[in-house]
Amino acid sequence: MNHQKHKNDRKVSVLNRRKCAWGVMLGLALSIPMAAHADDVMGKGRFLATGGIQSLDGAAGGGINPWAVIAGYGTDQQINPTASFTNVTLPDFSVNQLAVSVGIYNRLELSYAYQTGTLGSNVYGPNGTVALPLDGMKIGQHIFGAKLRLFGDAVYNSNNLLPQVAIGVEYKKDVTGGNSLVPALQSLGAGVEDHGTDVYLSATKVLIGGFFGYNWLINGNLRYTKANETGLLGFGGVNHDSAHIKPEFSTAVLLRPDVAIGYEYKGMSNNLSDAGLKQSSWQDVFVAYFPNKSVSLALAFARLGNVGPYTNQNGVYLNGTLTF
Amino acid sequence: MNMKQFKFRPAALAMISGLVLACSAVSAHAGYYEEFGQKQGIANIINDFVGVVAADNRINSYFAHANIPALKAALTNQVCEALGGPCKYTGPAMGPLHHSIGVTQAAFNALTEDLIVAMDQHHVSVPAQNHLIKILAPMSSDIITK
Repeated sequence: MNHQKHKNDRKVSVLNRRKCAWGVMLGLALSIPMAAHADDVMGKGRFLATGGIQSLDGAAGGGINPWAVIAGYGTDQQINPTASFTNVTLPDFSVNQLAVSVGIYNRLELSYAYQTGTLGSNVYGPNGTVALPLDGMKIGQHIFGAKLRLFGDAVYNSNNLLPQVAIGVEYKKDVTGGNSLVPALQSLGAGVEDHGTDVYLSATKVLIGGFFGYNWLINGNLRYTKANETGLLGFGGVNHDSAHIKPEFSTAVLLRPDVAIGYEYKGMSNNLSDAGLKQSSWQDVFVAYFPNKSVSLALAFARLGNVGPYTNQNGVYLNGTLTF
Repeated sequence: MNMKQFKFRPAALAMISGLVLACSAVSAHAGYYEEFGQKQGIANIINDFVGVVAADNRINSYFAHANIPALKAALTNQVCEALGGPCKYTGPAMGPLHHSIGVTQAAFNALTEDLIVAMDQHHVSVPAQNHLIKILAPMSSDIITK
């Protein structure tokens, strides 16, 4: 009797578990500061917005650039996982990203991002014929990332200019195969590889009241990379297949503790120019809203400029990041 | 939490008041003292701040035995002094007491967040809030001991 009841309970619980899993996760994510003691290992002891958002590589940062901050809000005694969705919609293609990360003891961040996109138009020659039949081709990559905070704290030490400094590594691999852009570039003889590894050094400083009384974040990165358009167009290229060091810069002003506006610049290498494909630096202006430490939303106008076969790729960036 | 349960505990007082003692080396900004509503305005903010802390399960255990009127008076004097007002903090010394409490960064930050809540309730502008926080932030290295 008892045994039977147990079995039934278990059936119901398995069914409910499936149904409820997402609801519970969302509920957890949206529930406002827990009644937990400040020192709980899953607590969120850092200040609002200091985990940035999950950028377009899976790392915590400003949207397109990583920052030296560690994902989530964990202090040196806390661990916070994060998850995010990002969409970038441009005139001739779009990219979606699903990403997860975990910030461990405000020291180490591990991340994974899965990017996919579809090219939306062909490239036409001067006489109106299709020069490059790209419409419908896929782009996409896996990005496995790790970031280690070396020293400093972006927010404390406000009486000096010592920044928080981190080193990061990102292994990227094309996921598309078949009818996709990277193999197409390879078949054109552009010499691109389908995987690559970036290494970056990042420094972040928050100047409390530093911008006319408002908190002001300044971030600079140096990235050692062979990637074309962060890897969406493969890595390296004809006669330009050596790695370059590219600068990245972000700045943000917190109008309130929960609202940031900012600007980012991301330098791009130009490995594909000999294949007739131009790349220009990325820029964006963004607004991010952090209603609590569990969720953030960001909207940006992104100016990607020349992206391989396409010109004037300027569009909209959307990101939602959950911290658990 | 019933405020009448609080009794005086020097260590708890030291932790919370230690937040605001950084001040002597920082030059005062008369405008912000005015914006906080001078000493009476600061006292009102501190009054609400202590209420927010008492209701904050993340950190209220630190203050379970604190003497609330004494805590409020000490904090008011400290913030007043930090903002350049004509006040003087005369409570217990900070340093050694913090070690016995074992304040984590999370607890320090939670306390700061509660102060922001109280300042918001009194419509203190973001720049004025940041001015006070900037004075308090460098103390973290003395207060966070765990």
